[in-house]
Amino acid sequence: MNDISTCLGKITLKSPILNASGTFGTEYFNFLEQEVQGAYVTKTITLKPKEGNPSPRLYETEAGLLNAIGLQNPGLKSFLNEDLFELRDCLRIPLIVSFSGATEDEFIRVMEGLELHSGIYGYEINISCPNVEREGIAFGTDPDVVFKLVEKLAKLTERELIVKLSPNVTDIALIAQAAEAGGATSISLINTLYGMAIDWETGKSRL
Amino acid sequence: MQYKILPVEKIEKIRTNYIQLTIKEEEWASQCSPGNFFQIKAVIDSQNRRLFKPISIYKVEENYISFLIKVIGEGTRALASLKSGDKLKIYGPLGNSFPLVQDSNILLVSGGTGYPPLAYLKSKLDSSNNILFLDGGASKDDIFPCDYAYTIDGSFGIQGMVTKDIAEFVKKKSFDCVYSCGPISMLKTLAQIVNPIPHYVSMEAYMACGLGVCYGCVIPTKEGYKRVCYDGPIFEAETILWAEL
Repeated sequence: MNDISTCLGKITLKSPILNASGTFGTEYFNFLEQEVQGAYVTKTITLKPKEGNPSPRLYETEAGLLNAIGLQNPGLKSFLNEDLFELRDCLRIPLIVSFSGATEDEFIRVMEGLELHSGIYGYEINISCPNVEREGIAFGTDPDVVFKLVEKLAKLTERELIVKLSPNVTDIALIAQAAEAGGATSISLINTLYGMAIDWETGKSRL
Repeated sequence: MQYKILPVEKIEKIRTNYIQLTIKEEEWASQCSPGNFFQIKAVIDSQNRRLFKPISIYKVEENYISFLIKVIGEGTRALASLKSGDKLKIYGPLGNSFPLVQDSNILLVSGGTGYPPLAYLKSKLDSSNNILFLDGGASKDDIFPCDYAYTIDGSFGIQGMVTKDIAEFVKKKSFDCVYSCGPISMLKTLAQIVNPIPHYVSMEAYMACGLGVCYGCVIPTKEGYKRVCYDGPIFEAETILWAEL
């Protein structure tokens, strides 16, 4: 096999392909060899378990698949006690944990929890979620907020720190620069695009 | 569970809107249980639709697996347009399965497109059971072999909903176990009538991955949102929060 290894910030990957968080599980290794990927990125976890949104959560349009999952996940504690062990057993490629929070403090507490455990090569910080301290405006839409958050997180870890950017902004480059200035060692492009499909018969949103 | 591109072994038009599609796959045929489903997509299907269709197993005979499919939207229309030898993208078998009981009085209730998994279940329930099978649909084209048929338009069997006479059957027959598949409203009504008899429902949902990864197909249960594709599609009726559906 040809050498297609590449560097992602601080880590060397044997392949430049990574899965998008939340769209891919270890179940898919029934279909393809792990080594096709350079690393495995988990579904986003949060400090507390999140129930997610009521169904329907999916709607397929000609332009793509709309989703409104709502970050359903079992929370940090369950991830550390169960999922992390299973992932370490199963994976032959580096593990990157995606996480998010509703406040700066939640992001910090999740990272502190993950830092106590081995077998994690890096983090993907999901900043597309609403910031409850700023009236629900997503973290990832304000360069100052991104800088402050990433700066705090970068101080807590030596691991690869990927910031996943939201596309729902006027100028994504400003956000990327803020993440870099804060200490991100790489960025991930992009999180879910806003979209809407309307049932013309009822006049209501499909999701 | 594997992903394959397989030729259609046989495809038959059963009714105006129904096809029976059969594939030949020895290993999968030995792995199937009643309630399981496959994710299926016609290779010729438009690139504008990416999702596979979750289709319950209808029959497994030797190395052959059959699906009874109602043509409803573009995905199922693409499947119906296939001919023998045309290629399918397919993976499975997926999901959990109905628990099989013995020496029991069993009620099977299907409505709408809910018939295939129950027909497959019936073929796997052993002869120690006493089975009553009710099937309901909009009109005669939606009815398949059963003990009592119900049609909304009265074009076949008894006019009305399939749940119409169930309270009476329950009184007369003292069922040990109920299995059902159909529209939410039917399942909800049925769950109320047959409670507290053990009742297993096969749920339908709009699905993306079919493997439990994306959390797109959840239903509300007493233990939070559960994935129809992975935690189901078979659920104990009493665990589902019907009022939220």
